[in-house]
Amino acid sequence: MRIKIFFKIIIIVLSCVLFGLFYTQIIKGNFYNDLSRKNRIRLITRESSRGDIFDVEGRILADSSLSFSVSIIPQELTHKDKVFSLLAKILKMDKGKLEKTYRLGLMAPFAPVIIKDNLAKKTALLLEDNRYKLAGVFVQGKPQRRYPSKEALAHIIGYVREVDKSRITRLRDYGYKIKDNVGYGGIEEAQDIVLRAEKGGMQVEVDSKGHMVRLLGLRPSQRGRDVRLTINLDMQRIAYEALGNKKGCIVIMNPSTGAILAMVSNPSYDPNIFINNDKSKIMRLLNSKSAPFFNRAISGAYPAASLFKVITALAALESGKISASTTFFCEGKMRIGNRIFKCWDTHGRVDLASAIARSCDVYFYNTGLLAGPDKIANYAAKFALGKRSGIDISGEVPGLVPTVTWKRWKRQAKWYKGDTANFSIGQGDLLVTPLQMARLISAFANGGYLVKPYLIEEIDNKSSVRKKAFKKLQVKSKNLKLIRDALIKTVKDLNGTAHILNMSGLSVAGKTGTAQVYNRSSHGWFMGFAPSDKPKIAFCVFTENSGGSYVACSVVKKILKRFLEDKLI
Amino acid sequence: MHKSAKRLFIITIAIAIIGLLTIYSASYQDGALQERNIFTRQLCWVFLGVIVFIIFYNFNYRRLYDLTFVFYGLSIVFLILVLIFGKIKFGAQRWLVVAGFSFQPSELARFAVILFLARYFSRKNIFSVRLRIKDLGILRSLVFPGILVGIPAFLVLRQPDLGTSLMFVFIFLILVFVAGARKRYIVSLLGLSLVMLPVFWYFLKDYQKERLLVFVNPNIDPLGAGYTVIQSKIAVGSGTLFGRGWLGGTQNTLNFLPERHTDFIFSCFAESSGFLGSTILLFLFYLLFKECINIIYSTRDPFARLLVVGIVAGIFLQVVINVSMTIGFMPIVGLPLPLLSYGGTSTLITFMSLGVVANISKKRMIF
Repeated sequence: MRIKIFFKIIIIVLSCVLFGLFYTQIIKGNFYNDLSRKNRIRLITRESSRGDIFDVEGRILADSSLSFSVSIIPQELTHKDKVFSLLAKILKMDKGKLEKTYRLGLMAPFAPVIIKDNLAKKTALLLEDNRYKLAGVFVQGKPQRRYPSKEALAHIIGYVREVDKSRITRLRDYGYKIKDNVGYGGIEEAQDIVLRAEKGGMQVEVDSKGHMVRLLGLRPSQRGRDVRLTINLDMQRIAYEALGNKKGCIVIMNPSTGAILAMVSNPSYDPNIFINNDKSKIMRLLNSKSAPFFNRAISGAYPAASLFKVITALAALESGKISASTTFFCEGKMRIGNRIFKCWDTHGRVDLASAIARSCDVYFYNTGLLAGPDKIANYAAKFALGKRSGIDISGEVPGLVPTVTWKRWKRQAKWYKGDTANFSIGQGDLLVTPLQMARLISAFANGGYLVKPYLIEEIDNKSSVRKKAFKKLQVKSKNLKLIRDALIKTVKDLNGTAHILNMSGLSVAGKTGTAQVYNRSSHGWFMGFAPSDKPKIAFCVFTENSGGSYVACSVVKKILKRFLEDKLI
Repeated sequence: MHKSAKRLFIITIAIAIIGLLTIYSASYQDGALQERNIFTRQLCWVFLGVIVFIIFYNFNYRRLYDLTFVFYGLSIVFLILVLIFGKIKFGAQRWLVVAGFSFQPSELARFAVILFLARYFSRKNIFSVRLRIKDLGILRSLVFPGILVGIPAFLVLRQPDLGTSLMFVFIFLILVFVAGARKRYIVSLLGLSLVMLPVFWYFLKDYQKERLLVFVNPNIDPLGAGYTVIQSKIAVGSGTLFGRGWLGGTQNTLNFLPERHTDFIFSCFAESSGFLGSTILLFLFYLLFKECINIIYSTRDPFARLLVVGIVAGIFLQVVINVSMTIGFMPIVGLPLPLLSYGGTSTLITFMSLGVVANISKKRMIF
């Protein structure tokens, strides 16, 4: 008999089984241990709402409302047909469509499948009332972001959306997870850490039916902290409306503190489309040629044009090359080297004040050539041109102040007198942001202090540390006053380029600018402050490819008129 | 008790106690199992099993030789009765209810088939002491006994109970092999089995086909047939080296594991006692088999020898198939783990078989 062979077979087979156990329990033990833990431990996240954003007077710029969604937990769906019929009736949707949504979303028996988002409150309540008939169906409330000001504040506030791949890699160290909502653009992005709610959660042990056996751990969720901005919602709205459908931007700030009262960039977008996740609208906006996400006030760098003349004037005055009484004769053009440089008008003999008021180019060609490019660049740098201001939102660009050295290094070219002429009237390579111009004019409004623009007044009811940082400029107050008077003349004088702004009840000071753009129509500029004796606001209006400074001036006029009507100044 | 029989008894009891502890852990938190008093009932079955063991230890096994066809006949009758009157549990008609007790005739049939084959193959050649099977042609060494095994196997398959009917085939193969049939017969028998596989597939019920498909890839139906395999693998695997302690297995106590007091008792055991416990359990079974094999060598009665081989083969096959299916190494067929799984018939028949083996160890001086 083959008993020995039989016993050997027994030993071999038992060894094989033992090896199988070794493989399952030792080699893959940790893997199965993990699965076992996942089997019985469920994380139930508890969401809390993001912090609100207020304007300076406490009016809501961004807050959260409860949004309801209905979902189904597959393993608890016992009477599938009945539940779907009732759901279809309550949601007023086609039953087949509901079943399809459910089928497509099915992942695991315990993982809830969202059937419908953004339920009306009434529908949510109706579902709750019918809960006993709807085994396996759950209504969940989730805080959802709201932007009541829509387009008017989009660039300052930004928006929130599900974090994307590139950002999660950057933010993972700060405790962000996939599927988290994260701020994009504006304050939402810059203050995300402050605003974001701490997700809480419960760790529970469940049995095979998903019923809770015991609570393993609990972390309460925490609401995000609020942020109060320096923005005045009324001013912001008026500014946004004044711009209408014109491309461009407006910056209004408090000249003595640097607090931004309004900042508008047009075209804009409605941040709420990201909350509703309206994909086609988002794609259309992202691909739009008019760049609605671009915050022209801080990210756009444009030629300063005649606005820059105040710097040229100041440089020449400070270095003693000219005085208030220095005059030059404008015959509408000027020959420098072998090129003819034109003035936009024929001004005749002009002194400094009327040269600024009437924006005579020839006067500043002469002044610039006297002062020299290094001196002008030097004064431009004093007013922090070519540098980022460090405002609280991202996307700011530094602009560019050309110098002789810069041209040699970057362009490998010599600096010609013609370059100085162009530089003197703010053309050529010079690029500035509208925010820098608002800052520049503020210095003339407040008597020589360079303020630092800021947007955040308070975080979580504690006043922001970054505000009120300004420094005294090293310029003679006599010279500042000279220019300031000229700026008043620009509006007051009948021949002044901004005479249109000479209104009753408010004295305005400022400087116009028309920046020539190759092959396109010119940009319009106006920077100014009001009231001119005791300035409450300083502002800069920029209208892109609009034809010239008169467009900017008309926008300013609309704004100031309404400010007066609404007693904002 | 004889020394060898005593050892056999102790090993058996040790395994049965492990089974009782595991059944306790599987049922103590489950309302439905508690209500049915699973643990107490199994305790009674083990107690009865011990009595049956002692009875058969004192019962001359040679009388079984004469009673072979009584067992065989009774089995056939019960198997037919079960197909007509049987109680349906888990979609299969395997139980006969007699006076409030469920009785599983396929377990008895297995014993009867072993008895029959041991008797059939142990007949001696009239002219020498050689076993007749060595000289028999294919018809009488394979076909005739094959048909007699085939009848109960077919009836069991109709219940349907794929596992037990496959056991009949395996036991037949092992006994033909051990009894000493010509090698070419065995080779051709194996060949035939392979050829028969597609035919066999055709006769399977849909759920059995599904189980086999799920064995190939459990993920095709993670909530249905694949669920058990996945949960069982998780249970066994999460035991790792030392296990999670008695009553500590969460797959078990939180009810993730279906049929955990019967076919998947091993998963419960492995979850709570780890690879160490699994090894000890398999080692106990090894000791059991070794003791039986030693007893085979102590007797020269070919009937006794084949009987022990058949009994060992039966227990061995159940252990291997059961444990393998809990770790996904074999498809799920409804086979209990002898001495551990809950079930009266299985427990009693196993104790009885081992009692017979113990009796054989006592009778060694007769020949």
